[in-house]
Amino acid sequence: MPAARCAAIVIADRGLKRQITAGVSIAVILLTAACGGAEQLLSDQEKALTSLRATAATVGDSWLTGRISTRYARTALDRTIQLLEQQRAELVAAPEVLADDRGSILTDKLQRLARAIVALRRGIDAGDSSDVRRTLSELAPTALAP
Amino acid sequence: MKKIFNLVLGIVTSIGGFVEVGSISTAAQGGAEFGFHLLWAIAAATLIAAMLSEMAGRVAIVSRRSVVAAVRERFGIHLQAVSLGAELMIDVLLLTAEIGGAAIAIKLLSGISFPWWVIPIGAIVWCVVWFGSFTVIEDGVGLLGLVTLVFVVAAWKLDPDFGALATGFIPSIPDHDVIRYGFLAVSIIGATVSPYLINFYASGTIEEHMTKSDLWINRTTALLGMGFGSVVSMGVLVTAALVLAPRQIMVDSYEQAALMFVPVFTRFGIPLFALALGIGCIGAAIEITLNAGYVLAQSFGWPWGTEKRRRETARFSSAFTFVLLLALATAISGVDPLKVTLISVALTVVIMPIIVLPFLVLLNDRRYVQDHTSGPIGNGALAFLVVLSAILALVVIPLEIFGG
Repeated sequence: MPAARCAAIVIADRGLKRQITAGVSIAVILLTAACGGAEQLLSDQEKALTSLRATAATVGDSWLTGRISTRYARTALDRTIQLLEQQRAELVAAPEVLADDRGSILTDKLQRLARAIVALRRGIDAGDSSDVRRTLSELAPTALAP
Repeated sequence: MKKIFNLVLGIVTSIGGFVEVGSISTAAQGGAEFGFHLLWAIAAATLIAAMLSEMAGRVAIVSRRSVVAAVRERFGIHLQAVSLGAELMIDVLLLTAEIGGAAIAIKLLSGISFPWWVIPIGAIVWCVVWFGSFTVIEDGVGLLGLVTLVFVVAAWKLDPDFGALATGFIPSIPDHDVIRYGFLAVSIIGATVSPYLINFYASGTIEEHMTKSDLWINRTTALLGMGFGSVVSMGVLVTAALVLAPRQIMVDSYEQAALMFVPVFTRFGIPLFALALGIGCIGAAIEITLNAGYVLAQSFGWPWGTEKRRRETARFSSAFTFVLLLALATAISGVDPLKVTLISVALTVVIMPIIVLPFLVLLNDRRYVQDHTSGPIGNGALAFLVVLSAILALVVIPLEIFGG
């Protein structure tokens, strides 16, 4: 009882009340920012995944129809893989995002896309149109769905 | 007749140095992510650049001094030192981005990694600046830069909906990614209103010995020349909007940007994109290198000019050589030219108030412009620009962090 009364007296002190209020407010803001930041990161990653998948699909399709050279196709796919690695590194550096179900699904999609692009590049290197066509079907959005 | 010919040449060659890695990358990103909705930013940026160029040209022609020298004389070396430091930093970054962009253009054709091309490109830039006269540099770069009209051809061939295009000239808030939209709008302004473009333009009026009887040429060239260049930037945006946006391809690399030409030009698409990017970047690199020499020489009162022998302008020549070497060292390290571009355009916006504010004083000081002071409309526009540039300078860094 005396301890509780002491605590009540201390908290009743306006200066301390102000400090506690400020501390709680800052904690709420930081927590909200962290959650907002994680949400924004997930959204950006999903857009990047869509963009890189579309890039690889466009490169593969353009190569099949003879509208781009093998040399450029290789260059473009290599660059796409580099960008993909940068996206994965960003995800790995954000453990709070990985802990989210969406984060782990996204990581899985990025890995599968990377494998598909490597296969696409291999098919283009070998000049194998049927292999490239098969890989392009794997690049379709539904093919990458969990 | 000769003046008319020079005027037309001046307008046409304004394209050189205007369409470069900054304007291409920001317009491509804007088109790929927001369709036509950022056309107003290109138009607004062009008006600002045209206005500042005309004013800088007017000060240089009437006072027979460069704008840099006029600012140093009027405001003292301390303000000029801040402006000089900022402009040199941006010149090095931009030059790095331009050389990187040109190297990537060659990589698109050859498949060979871009750092290998940095030194040869740097050597070409240095040789042109060292051995070329101003006429050769300005007109040569400008005429070669006409190849960038291929962006306008591509946009035309894609048959855009002109009604939808027209609404892109009205500023609007998008229904998604507002911060990213704001960042790209500010970046487009930063890419267009480059300090080097304004100072190079003004220095050019002195190199070409323009007099007060040529003020109408200065006004016409600034307005129509910048306008002509902006049509190409709009061509980039429209083409990206029609080809990349429907496929949800964002421009995070020049390899992705090049895909915008494939549906239009098929197997000639990638080579044409590489040619336009490469020539645009090399042209801008030449002008930025020369401008770095101008800015340093004019700040310290050293002799300068491409028409003089190099031994008579040793410090000017050393200055632009040193800046070029700095940029080459940065570019060869393999930094992503696209990222360097976005950083440099953001920094351009940050220093814009320092660039714009002196004009408000100089254009009303008869010691520099005699009877050709700005009227109420000109002063009103400048005052608005000062306020706008201050606001943009405040918001650009947060926008880059959260939307870049």
